[in-house]
Amino acid sequence: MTATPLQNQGAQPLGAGSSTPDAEVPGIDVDQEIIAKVLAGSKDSFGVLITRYSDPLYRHALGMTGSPDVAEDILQASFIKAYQHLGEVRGRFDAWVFRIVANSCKDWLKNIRRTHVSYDEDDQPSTYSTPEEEMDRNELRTDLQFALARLAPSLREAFVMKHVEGRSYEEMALLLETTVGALKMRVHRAREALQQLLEEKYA
Amino acid sequence: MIRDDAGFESNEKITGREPVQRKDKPAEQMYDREVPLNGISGHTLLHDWLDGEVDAMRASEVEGKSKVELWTRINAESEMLRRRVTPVHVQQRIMAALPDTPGTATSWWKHQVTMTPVSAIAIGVALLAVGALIIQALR
Repeated sequence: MTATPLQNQGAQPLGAGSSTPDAEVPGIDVDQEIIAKVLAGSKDSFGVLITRYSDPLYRHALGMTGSPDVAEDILQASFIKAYQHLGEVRGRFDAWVFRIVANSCKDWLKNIRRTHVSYDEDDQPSTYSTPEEEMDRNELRTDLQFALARLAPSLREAFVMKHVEGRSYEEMALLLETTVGALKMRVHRAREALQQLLEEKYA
Repeated sequence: MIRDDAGFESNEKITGREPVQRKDKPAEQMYDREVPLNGISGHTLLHDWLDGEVDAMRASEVEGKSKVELWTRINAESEMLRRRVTPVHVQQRIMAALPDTPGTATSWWKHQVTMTPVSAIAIGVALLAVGALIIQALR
């Protein structure tokens, strides 16, 4: 089975699969089968879709909000919304549910008054070799979050998709329904802004 | 946001004949504007390297070692985030919060209206009563 752009186990670049029409991507057919089962009354089958797509969607929400708690809430609300409107899915489920999450993140960013978000509440185990290295990286992480929080939501979204999620421009264009050129411009602008904000301290 | 660039905020005396010099806007106001990439000043070798089109050595030679080192660190941090997975309890929480029936949910005005004989008679009687009341009020 070929992975769809948003499938778990890492956001894979579309590569050969990205340029093929929807019907030629086997993962999309599987999604349609699962959706048919859910609509026929098999609630548990929706769990398969959650398992398939939750990780890249969670990473997107985490990158956009900077808060694991908020990312979890957005993910939950988005999947519930997707379930409630499952009969309205036209085309690819993964792109459709991504847009629900992406819009929720941007709404959250518009409403939030906080300027500082951090990963401090993170409970992931540390992978640093020395305490000094950990301190150093934590400082960069905090500063990067500060800098990201100062970007316009569309620039932050493009940066997160490119650098944190590791997507290709083509895949981003498919998910955001825009052009590769526009996305390159957003990513470049985001990089320039981040560099301006960080280079005084780090470069 | 539209800003007044005429220079009035600095209390400059303007006679009406003098050309008003426009002030340069800060660069960050331009971030959201999307223009074609061809030939823009910001399109540097650093972006080419970050997009995987040239190697770090070449980018370092042209853009400077410090910039490449900064982005190497940012990329390493981004790599860490890329390995994040959804906490197990979240998937369980979502499944527990799902409503019993999935979404054939449509807006109320799209719902099909079913008319039984009893409801048809009730609606007819109600309309007659309303009509009678209106006629009585007009007399």
